[in-house]
Amino acid sequence: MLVPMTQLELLGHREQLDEVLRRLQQLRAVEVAGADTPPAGGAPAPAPAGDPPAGGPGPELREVADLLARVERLLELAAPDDPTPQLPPPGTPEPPTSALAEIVRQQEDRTDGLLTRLEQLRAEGDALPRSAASLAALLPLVPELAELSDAELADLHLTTIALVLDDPEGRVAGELRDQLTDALGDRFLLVTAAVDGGSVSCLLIVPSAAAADVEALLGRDRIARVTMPEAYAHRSLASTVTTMQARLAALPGELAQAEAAVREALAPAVPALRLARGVLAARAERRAAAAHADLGERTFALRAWTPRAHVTAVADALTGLDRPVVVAEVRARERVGTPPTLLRNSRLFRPFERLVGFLSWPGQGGLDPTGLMAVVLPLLFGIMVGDVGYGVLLVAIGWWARRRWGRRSQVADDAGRILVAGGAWSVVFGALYGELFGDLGRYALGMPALWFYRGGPDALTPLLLFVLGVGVAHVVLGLLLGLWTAVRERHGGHVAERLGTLLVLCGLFALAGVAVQALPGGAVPPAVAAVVVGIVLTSVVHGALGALLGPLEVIGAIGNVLSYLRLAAVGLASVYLAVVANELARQAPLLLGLVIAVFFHALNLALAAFSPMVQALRLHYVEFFGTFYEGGGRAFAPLGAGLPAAAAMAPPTVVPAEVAGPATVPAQAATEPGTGVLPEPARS
Amino acid sequence: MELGLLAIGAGLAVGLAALAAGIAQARIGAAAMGAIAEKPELTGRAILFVALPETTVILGFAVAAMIILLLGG
Repeated sequence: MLVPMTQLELLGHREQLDEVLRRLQQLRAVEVAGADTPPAGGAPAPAPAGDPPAGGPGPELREVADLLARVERLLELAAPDDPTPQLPPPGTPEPPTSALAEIVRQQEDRTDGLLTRLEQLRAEGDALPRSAASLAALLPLVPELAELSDAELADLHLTTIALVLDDPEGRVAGELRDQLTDALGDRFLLVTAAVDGGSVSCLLIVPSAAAADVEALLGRDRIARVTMPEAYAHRSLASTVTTMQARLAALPGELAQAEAAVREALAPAVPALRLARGVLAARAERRAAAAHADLGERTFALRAWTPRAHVTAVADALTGLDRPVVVAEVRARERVGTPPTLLRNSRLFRPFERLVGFLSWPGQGGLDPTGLMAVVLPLLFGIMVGDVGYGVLLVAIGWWARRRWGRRSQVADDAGRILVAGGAWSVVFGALYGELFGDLGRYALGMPALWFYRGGPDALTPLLLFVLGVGVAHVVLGLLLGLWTAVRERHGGHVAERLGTLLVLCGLFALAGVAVQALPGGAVPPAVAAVVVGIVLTSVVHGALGALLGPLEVIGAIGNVLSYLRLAAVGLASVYLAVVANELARQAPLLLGLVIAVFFHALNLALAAFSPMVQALRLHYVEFFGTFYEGGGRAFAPLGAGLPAAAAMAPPTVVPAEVAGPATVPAQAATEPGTGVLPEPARS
Repeated sequence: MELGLLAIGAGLAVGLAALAAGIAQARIGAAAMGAIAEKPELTGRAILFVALPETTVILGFAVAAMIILLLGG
C-alpha cells in the first residue's frame, strides 16, 4: 500500500540548520522538498555577506565532495572487499573537515611513492597489450627481418624502429613515407599493419648511419606517434614482441605486489578512513540538502516530505536544541512539488516492490499493485514452467542465492524470494500437468497428470482455454481496478472508457459461450447489446475521433486477453525441449545420453528461470497495469538513507502520530536506499 | 486436408510472425540498450518495449493453433 505523505515546514535559526539536518539524517524519515531537482538557478543560494557560513551551502560542499572522493580512492586501495562503514558513536562530536583532510593528506603523503608505482604499473598494463598486439601484427609481414637478432641487425648496419601511430584517418603513415623518401631516397623499409581502434603499427628499417636523422624526423610535430617505451626501443621486431610478452606475463605479479604494499601501508589507517568516509558522506548530504533551504539573515526555512505517521517523530527529533525549531504541517493546497512515493507491504510482498518500481513508482493517490503482482506473477511463472523437477531446482537455486548473497545484496535477496515463489508454483503446476523433467516422470516413474499432460495430442485445447481464462480474469480485474480508481477520482471519461471495455468483453465472452454451446441461445441479444453499448461508451469519450479510437480501444483489450496465450506458447516450448532432451538421451549410449540429457535440461532450466519471468513481467506491465496503473511517481529518498553506516548511528526515538506511547525504530532497519521503503512504525 | 499442408501452414503462421517480431525486436533492442546505457532507470520500460513485438508471434501461435484445431479435425 501507499504510505500517505505530508509536507512539513521547518523554521529555525540559521546557525542551527546543520544540526537540524543532522538530526533528520538520523531519523531517516524526511526528504527535503526539491531534493530531486537542483536548487533554483542551479547553484546554492549565496550566503549574505558577513554572515557565518554555518548551516548554509557554500564552497565547503565542493571541498567535502572532493575529500570524500579521495577517501573513497584510498579505501578502495586499502580494503577493496570490505565496505564496512563507520560513523562516530552517538553523542560524539563529528571531526571537522580540516581534521579529516589532514588524515587524508597524511595517508596520501605516506603512500605517495607506492601509489605512483601502482599507477605506473596499471598504466603499463593498460597500454602494453595494445602495443604488443600491434607489433605482433607486423611479424608475418617481414618474416626474415623479424627473425634477425639485435646483433645480426647491427652487423648489417641496419636499425629497426617500431612505432604505433594514432592514425584513424590513414594520413600519417603516408606522410611519414613521403618524408622518409625525401630524406633517404629508397634506403628504408616501412611496413604497416592496421590494428583496432584506428591505430597503425609501423616497422621502420633504416641504415644505422641514418638512424639519427630519422629520429630527428620522427621528432617533428607533424608526425603524431606513440613510440615504444625505452625498454623495447631499437630492438628487432621479434625481440621486441618477445620482450613485451614476457613483460606482460610478469606484470600481474608485480601489480599484485604493488597493491599488497599499498594495502599494507594503508592498513593502520583504515578505521580512520572509514570514519572519515561516513562523516564526509553525511556532511555532503547535509550540505546538498541545505542548498534547498530559504536562508534569511538569521533564519532558515526548509520544506520536507515525511510519512504522515512520522510527523510527531520529526517534531520530537528536533526538540532539545538551543533554540526552538518550528515544525508545521503544510496544508495540501499550499504544498510545493510532488510528494514522493513510499510503499509499505508485508514481508512476503516486499520483494515485488522492486519490480513495480522497475517500471515506474506509483504516484500519490494511485494504486500500489505490489500485492496483486506478488500473488499473480509467480502463478503465471508456474503456469509456464509447470514441471516438478524444474520447480524444485528453481526453489533450491532461489534459496541458495538468498543464503549466498542475500545478506550483502537486497537485490539478490529479493530475486531469490521471487524465484522461490515462482518455483513453488512450478511444482504445483508440474503436479497438475504430470511433468517431471518433461516426460521423464511420466515414463520412468509412472507419474500421473492430475489435470492434463501438456505434451499430449489433446492438450492444446484445454491449455489454450485455461490460459485465456487466466487472461480474462487478469484483464477484467485490471479493468475493475481502473473503474474503481476512475470513480474515486471522479473522472467521467475514464469511467465510461473502462465500463465500455468491460461491457464489450462480457458481450464477446457471452457470444463465444453461445458459439460453443456453453450458454443458451437466448444470451445472444443481451450479449450483442452489451457489445454495442460498450463500443458507444468507449467511442464517446474520445470526442470527434471516437468513431476511430473507440473500436481501437476495444480491439486492444481483446488483444490484451489474447496476449495471455504466451503462457501456453512458452510452456509448450519448455515441455517440448525437455521431451527432446529425454528422447536424445534415450537414443544415445548410457553415459553419452546422460551428458546430453543434463546439458539440454540445464539449458531448459536456464531458459525457464529467465524467459517466463520476462513474459510474466510483460503481462503485468502491458496488459494488466495498462488498464488501471498510473505511474510517474518517484521513490522516497529520506535524508540519511544513503549513508553507509546505519548500525553506528544513534537510533532516534520515533513516536508515530497515531500511537500514544513512545516507540523506537531501530536505525538498522530504517530505510532501504533507492526503494523508498520505511519500516512500519513500531507500536507499543 | 492433408496433414503435411496443415503443418506447413501452421509453421508458416508462427515462423513468419516470429521473423517479423525478431526484426522489430532487433531494432528496438539496440535502441533500448543505448537508452539503458544513458539512463539505467529505464531498464523496466526497455524490457517492456523489447517484449512488445512478441505479441505478433503470439497471434501467429493463435492462428497456428486454430489451423491445427479447426482444420486438423
